Amino acid sequence: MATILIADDAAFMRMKSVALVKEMGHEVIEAADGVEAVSMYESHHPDAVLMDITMPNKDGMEALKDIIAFDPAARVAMVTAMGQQQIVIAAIKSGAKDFVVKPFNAERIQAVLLKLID
Amino acid sequence: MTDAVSDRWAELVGLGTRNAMSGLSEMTGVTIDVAELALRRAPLSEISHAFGGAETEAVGIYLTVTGSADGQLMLMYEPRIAYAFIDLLMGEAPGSTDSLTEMGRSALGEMGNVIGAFFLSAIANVTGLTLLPSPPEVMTDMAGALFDVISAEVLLDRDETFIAETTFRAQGHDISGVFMVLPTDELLQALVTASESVSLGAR
Repeated sequence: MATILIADDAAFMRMKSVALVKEMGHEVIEAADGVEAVSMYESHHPDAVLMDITMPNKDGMEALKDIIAFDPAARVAMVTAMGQQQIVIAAIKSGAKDFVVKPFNAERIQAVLLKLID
Repeated sequence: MTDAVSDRWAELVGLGTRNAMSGLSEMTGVTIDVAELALRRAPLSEISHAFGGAETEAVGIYLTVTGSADGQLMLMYEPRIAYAFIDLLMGEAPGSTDSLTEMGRSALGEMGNVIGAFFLSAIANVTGLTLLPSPPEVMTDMAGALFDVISAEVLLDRDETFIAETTFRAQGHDISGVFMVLPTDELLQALVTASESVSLGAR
């Protein structure tokens, strides 16, 4: 069992993601914006992070940079509806290990977590 | 606006809208068709007519666009339609939702996020521009008041704007709505200029 940090400002998406990841047998911690995500990462050291990009206070890309600065080995996948090539490239360059385009299904999340945790 | 610019803008909006409805279909698990796509210049006083009049009660999902240029997106529904979408998104039986709870509001916001992002991604990938949606804001008010929100910025120095207005329908469900795109002049020009060198017809 791994600990997964789910960062998304939308309570609806957190509810769906948390249910999926718990069904896969993992422990979940949650953050509702980028500031909270960085803080949760630093205090809980999760095994992997699923992070939305469009969030208030600090967006997912900024939070990703802060997490990678804190822990260069952090395993973060960006989860977003924005399939824009430039954004995908920017996320990977900033240290994201994978990119999940919303709306996603259980199989996709499972595949990403397997990749991140392995 | 010349006919050529207008045609190019229409092509981009058509491309983005089809992609947005595909995102909505994926999210809800229901096939969503574009019933009507109207592109026009409209004075502020007429915008709310798109939604049955200024005093019609409505639920709006509003996103701003930033990046290469600015703009605004708004989805508007009658409340009963918004509730039907919430039922679909939450996996509830039709008719279960009859008011806007915090979780329902979040579900609608996420739906706006997916639609806005799919719309912008389709256009961004063709033009090479970066177009970023803001976190969605879900609002309930009279249609006129909602239109005041979205038109405040683009109409600061003029009395009309260029709007793209899409009516869509979900197959097998009594669901339809209006998706409006309000570009600033800057965004309109940036999109048209960036797309001049590419062919959209085959996409």
